[in-house]
Amino acid sequence: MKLTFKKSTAVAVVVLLGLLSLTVIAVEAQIVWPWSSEPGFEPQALTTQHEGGELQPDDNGYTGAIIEANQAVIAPSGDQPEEEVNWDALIPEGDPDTIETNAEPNWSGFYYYHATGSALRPRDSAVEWNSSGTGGCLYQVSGNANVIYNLHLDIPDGARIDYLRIYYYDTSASDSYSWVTRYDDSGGLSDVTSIASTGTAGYGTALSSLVLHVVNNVDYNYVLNWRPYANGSTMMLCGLRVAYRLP
Amino acid sequence: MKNKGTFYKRLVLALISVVLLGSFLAFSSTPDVLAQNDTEGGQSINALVMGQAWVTSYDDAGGLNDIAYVPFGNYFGFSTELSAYSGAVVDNISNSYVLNWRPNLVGSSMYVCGLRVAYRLPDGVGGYSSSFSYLHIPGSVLLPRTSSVNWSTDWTGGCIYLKSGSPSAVFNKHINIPDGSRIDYLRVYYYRASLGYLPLIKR
Repeated sequence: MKLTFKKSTAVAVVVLLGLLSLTVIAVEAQIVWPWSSEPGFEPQALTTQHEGGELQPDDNGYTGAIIEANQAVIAPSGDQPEEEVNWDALIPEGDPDTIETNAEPNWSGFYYYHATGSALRPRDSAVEWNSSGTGGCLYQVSGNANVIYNLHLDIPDGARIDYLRIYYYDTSASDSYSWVTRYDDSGGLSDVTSIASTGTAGYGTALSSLVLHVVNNVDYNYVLNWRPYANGSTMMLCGLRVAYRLP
Repeated sequence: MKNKGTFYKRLVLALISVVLLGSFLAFSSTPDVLAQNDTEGGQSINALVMGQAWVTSYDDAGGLNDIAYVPFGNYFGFSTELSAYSGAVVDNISNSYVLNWRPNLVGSSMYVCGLRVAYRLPDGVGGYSSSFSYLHIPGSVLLPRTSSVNWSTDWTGGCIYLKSGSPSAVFNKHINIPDGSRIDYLRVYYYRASLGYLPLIKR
């Protein structure tokens, strides 16, 4: 009996010490306990909305009340006031990448793949980048100014790329370049079209020449590229727009 | 002497049982209890920082329009929240569109696991499709607008959180929704951890 009591005491002491250790570790390390499961190892049920199969306003078949957005509560994307740029004055009337021109019988009217400048990212982590105060334009803060920023260009197979337009802010003595590249997944590439920012007047836009490149998504992938050639907010990419036609 | 030994033995066994049972209950039910009470370590969830997700259109010259917005983080565990109705019509000729996420907190206590835009295609006669189309991305494809922050993903690689840097940093992702479509809703999927500690201390 005496021996049993000693064993029980030892077990109790060990258990208590173990639990106390766990508590101390948890508090000190601020561990978030995975509790009954860890993300990825066990399917998790959503705790709200969509629970129980009840239809929500963004589900097909929903017929309940609709709450409209109160614009006043929407957080602004940027921390600086918007700027007003008159694109109509900057883009010549009848530029060939507009809907009204270049209609062809075997091709649709223009479709546009229109990317925000701040959606591109560098191909090399050695540089620093930032976005403009409104969050739409991208510029390189420091590092090699030849580094390329890119974004996957997702255009339907069989479509025909006609034009690439660049929107920029440029008060730098340098010119930045943008282009579309096609990769074959094994090191091969082909630059489809390119266009440069020019001048030092600030906001501007420029249009590539006509390309007539038919997209082949079976054998290739496509990306939009931008090379700043200058550091600082005097050279910013604000947007890229690819005009394409469907067969 | 024998009675005294038996008494101590039973006392020790009772103590062990209480501790083990308490630990089991705490480990298995604390999150639920905290969630039911809307508390995180004793804090009301209403007092906690919320994340923000929204859709923005840009006009290529600094002009912008935030068209669908949802603050999130009102629930523990894996959850989802929905924006109010937007009704913004996509104009790819003049505007580009991005999904945005602002964490507003640093650390893995809250992940963004997905964003889903519900939109309706134009029906060709001035109206819109009767059914929704969806653009649905995992959280981990969002990337910061500035290089001054660090981020990471969860075990699955699908959810993202801010590791260090300004909690106000914005992460974004280009979206391409067919021209003329009407963006109706933005849904965010997220995970919010409930911080509970065992067995003797709850913060």
